[in-house]
Amino acid sequence: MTQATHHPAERVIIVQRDVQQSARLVADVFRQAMRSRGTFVVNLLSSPGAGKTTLLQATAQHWRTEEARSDDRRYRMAVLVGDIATDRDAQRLAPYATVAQLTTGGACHLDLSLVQRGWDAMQQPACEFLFLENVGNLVCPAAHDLGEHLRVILLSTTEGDDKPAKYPKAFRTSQGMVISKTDLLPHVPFSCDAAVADARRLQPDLAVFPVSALQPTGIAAWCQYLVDQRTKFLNGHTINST
Amino acid sequence: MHEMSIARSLVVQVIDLTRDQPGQSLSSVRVRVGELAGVEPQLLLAACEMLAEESAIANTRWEILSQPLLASCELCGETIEIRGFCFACNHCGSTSVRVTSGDAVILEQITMVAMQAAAEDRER
Repeated sequence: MTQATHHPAERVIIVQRDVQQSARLVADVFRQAMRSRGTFVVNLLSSPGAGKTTLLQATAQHWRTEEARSDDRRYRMAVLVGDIATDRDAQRLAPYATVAQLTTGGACHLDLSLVQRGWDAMQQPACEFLFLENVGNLVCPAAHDLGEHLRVILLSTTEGDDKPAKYPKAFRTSQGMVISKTDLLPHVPFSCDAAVADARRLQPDLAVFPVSALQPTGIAAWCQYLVDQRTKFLNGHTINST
Repeated sequence: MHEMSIARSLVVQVIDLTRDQPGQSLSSVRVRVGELAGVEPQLLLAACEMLAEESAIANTRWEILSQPLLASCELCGETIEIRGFCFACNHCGSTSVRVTSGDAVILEQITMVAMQAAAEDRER
């Protein structure tokens, strides 16, 4: 463990420890607790304005329509919305889901202590899905484990198809990718094929969902993916990360 | 700028480690930042120095070094270095690779010096 170096009074102590290891252990405890309740936790990452809140509105609307058709398809959702300031996103989602705003006061990402506080503040509602709408940022949120079961990244067609190559960690650590605002494809120089090819160089197993939340198109496939992932997970399959 | 929160964990963990070393004072800390850690080494260094200055481990030399991204191929078993974030095996072409190092910030080692020697050093 310990060895002397050039200075006789100096002692080198080998530590070799992942600095975020203890945070990861806490995240594992949260992950396990949410699993036992049957709540599937989804961490949503994107740059600002890619459409995270709009996607969640469309998701909730879709499930509401399905529920009206059949009683056994009931998916309750809760959302913890991270923003640097204001509770505007929480207000937008309040008609559809149990929601709490996490205002980070300048911090560029959500961390697990904020998530746990928000989850307690909303009184841990019974729900099939808990969405963590991260602060709009493709850098910092990628490095923080929030105890999620699934990480999904949103890339909007207005941002440019070169984002996966520019933000490798965010795409590498995600299992799903939603390409949002596809209704704008005729008007913007965005190639879905190029974005997907770059993203899959980083994460070969990435599941991809082109979506327009406003039209809406692609929402049913996206919602089905969430339901399937939840079912698989609760039946004991692991979802790989990194 | 999440380097600040990583630096805070680092400083807290280093202070904890030095508590187990009575009669010794900390002289340096070596940290490895993986290429896929999502952390900018220069910013991490600045944050560590700033936080340490206000703590029990002021005057510590921070060595922030980079760590290449290594993976193991699930198909052929080779250990490969991932360059340009292209996650494919350069031996067999498989895209089924598991990252083994270079995706985290590692507190590698700390160097302690006997307090008496540290005092003599200062006198010299």
